[in-house]
Amino acid sequence: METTIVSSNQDFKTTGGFENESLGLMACDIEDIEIVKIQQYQGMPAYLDKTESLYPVVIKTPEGYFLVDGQELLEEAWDGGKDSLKCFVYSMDEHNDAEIALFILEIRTKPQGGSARYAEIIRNVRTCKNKLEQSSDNLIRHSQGGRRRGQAFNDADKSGNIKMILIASTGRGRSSVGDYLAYSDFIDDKTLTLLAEGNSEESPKGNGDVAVADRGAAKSFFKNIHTKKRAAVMMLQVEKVDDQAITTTISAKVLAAFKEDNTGKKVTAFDDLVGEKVEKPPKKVKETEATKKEVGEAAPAEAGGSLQTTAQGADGDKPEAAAVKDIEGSHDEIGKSTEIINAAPPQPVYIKQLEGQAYRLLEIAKSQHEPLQIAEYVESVIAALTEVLTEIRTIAEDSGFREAA
Amino acid sequence: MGVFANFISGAQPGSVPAGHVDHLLVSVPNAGHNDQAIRRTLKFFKSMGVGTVVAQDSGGFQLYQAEHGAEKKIIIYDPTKTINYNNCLNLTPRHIIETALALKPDIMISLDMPVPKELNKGRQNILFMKNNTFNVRCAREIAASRDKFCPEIRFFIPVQAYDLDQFDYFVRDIGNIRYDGLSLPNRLFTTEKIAFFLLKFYWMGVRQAHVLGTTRFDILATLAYFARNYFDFLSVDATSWMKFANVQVYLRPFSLLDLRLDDKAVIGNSDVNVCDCPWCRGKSFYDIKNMINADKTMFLRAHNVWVTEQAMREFYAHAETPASLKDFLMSKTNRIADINRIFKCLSTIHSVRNILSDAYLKVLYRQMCE
Repeated sequence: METTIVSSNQDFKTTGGFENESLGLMACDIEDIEIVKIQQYQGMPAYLDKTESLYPVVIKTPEGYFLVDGQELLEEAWDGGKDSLKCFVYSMDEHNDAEIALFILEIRTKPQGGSARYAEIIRNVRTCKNKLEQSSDNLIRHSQGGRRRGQAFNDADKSGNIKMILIASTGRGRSSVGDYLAYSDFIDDKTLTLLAEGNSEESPKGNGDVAVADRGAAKSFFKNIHTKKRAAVMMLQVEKVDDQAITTTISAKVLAAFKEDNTGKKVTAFDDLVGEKVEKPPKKVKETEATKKEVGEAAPAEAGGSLQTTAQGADGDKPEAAAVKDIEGSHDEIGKSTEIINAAPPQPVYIKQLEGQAYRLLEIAKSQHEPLQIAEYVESVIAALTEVLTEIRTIAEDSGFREAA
Repeated sequence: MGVFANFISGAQPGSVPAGHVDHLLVSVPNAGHNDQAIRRTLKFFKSMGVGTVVAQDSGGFQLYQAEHGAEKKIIIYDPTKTINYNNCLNLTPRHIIETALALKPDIMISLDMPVPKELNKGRQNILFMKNNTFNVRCAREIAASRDKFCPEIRFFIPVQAYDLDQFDYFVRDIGNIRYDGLSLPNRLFTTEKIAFFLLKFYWMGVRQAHVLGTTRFDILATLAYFARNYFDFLSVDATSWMKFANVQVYLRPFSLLDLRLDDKAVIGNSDVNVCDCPWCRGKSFYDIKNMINADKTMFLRAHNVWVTEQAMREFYAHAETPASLKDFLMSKTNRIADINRIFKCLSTIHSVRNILSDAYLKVLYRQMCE
């Protein structure tokens, strides 16, 4: 048995002067281990890219040997008819799920086995976070990072403590770890694995032999979609959707966004949640024919009308008609937009008033704590309107307007 | 029992809390200064979806900033020129009306030249007189145009007066123009003064009002009482939801006291997040503190709006009388000094509401506010 490599945890011990109270993951031995004795660690999927490590890396705990990195080396040996294989073996005094997960994260973020893909990193950081959250351990046992940075653990700040552990384990800064957690939030493991493979479909192709340029969804992808993703999550939270359902919805949206992004299209996957999902009633966009007419007709008749007065006040000889024309569309700035609005289909003023009254009912219902009574009123109004609608349709059919419409 | 509404102001596409608000306030200089801005604003309205009530502010604040703010700007008055003409600020009734015709807001606020904060009575008189000419002319012109071109838009007139006597002058000067409501600048007034102005509006028969630029605890509590007992529609607006969030400040439910949650925040062990908002679900103050900044800002914007509106809803629900409001506020917050002050003012108003006359109102105003 050779003892050659010092683990990164021990490295903290020597450089930071911290007495490692962690799990005794001190030194690395190289041992010949029977392949059948090496178990797959179920808490995280194996990395897609091949390890750069000379031998597979395993952790030895009282419960056995657990593979950390180098799945393909193990498979090659097995296929080549070998029963045992040299492995780097780290020892752990007691079996601890969170610590194994952290170690798997660390092995590719502080490369011994090569670097992981971005989606894998954020998936694994999130997995570690979840395991640490669920762990009943005192987090200080994983705390070398916090001490190393001169920050004491705060018992009440579990999320901050976990973040410090992740900072230490990944060797990345606070903002990077914050990004990992934020970017992976509400995306399920399966989706992150697909994104690591570069797949937007649920048919994994990953075999580890992918060119560097094709290393799945890059950081920029997660960064670009993040604001919309967060907004979508918040919208779903408003609707009291549970976290599991949010994760399912968001994961599907992220895959769709990746597909769009890959094909060079504008990412619109989230738009039905945060974008222009609901059509605004025409009240905000349409200048009605009636209003237009009113503008055109009322102004000349009202010689004392304020717009003319104003125009003349500033520009003494400006005729009334010119002032009216301004309103209709010739004004430097405003006029153009009025033209755009005028181009919209006409809608009578009473529709706007009707809509206004309807939304006023909504306001009253929201603020008056008698929504049931108001709901009853609204129902009776809807019944009356439905009747009116039927009548109007009949009239339209009779006069042949329906087809024209 | 009337509507008590919170208009979100300062919102841009993408910054709207949780993607939708019920009440949105936009200003002419920002939302309607050229056709591109109008197109953008219309798209913004569309993205809000159904049911958002829109108010269009005139830009009095921008006029005030141009005259008294740190970055001064020349103000001109020329209806034939654009709003940002030659780097000058040019707001006239025509700009207000034309923007309203384009944006089709539910409420339009008249153009006003705000008076600056001033304690000296003599100075207040001269400042009022200077601005009153502009404000009266704009109110009259916009009212006439509104009647002609967009009568369906509710029209509110801002009150730029330091006291009730000046307000009487203003009302006399605007004459018999048609308007739906009045709006008050919070900047000039104590909570007591706002209460007495609202009482005066009520006495005049005005049933809709807006208080500009605040969502402060004591003002919201006071307005809740008025919305519940006197008005058909009473609203506030503020940009504080965004400004607080931008500096990572969390507003506490009901008390609306601020808690800074930046990286250096020190959170007491007994300080528990009891907020019921959809985004705080299961989050401790530390969880919020440890969010990345972009997420935290987005989160705090939504949270701050939600707790403000929750406070408004609950204050309103318990504001049947000053006593019931006081009991509720005492049970939910520890702002005892503020609550006692509000109670003193509101209980005075409540006791005289059936025997109110203009003269009596002024006597009370002088006792309570001067």
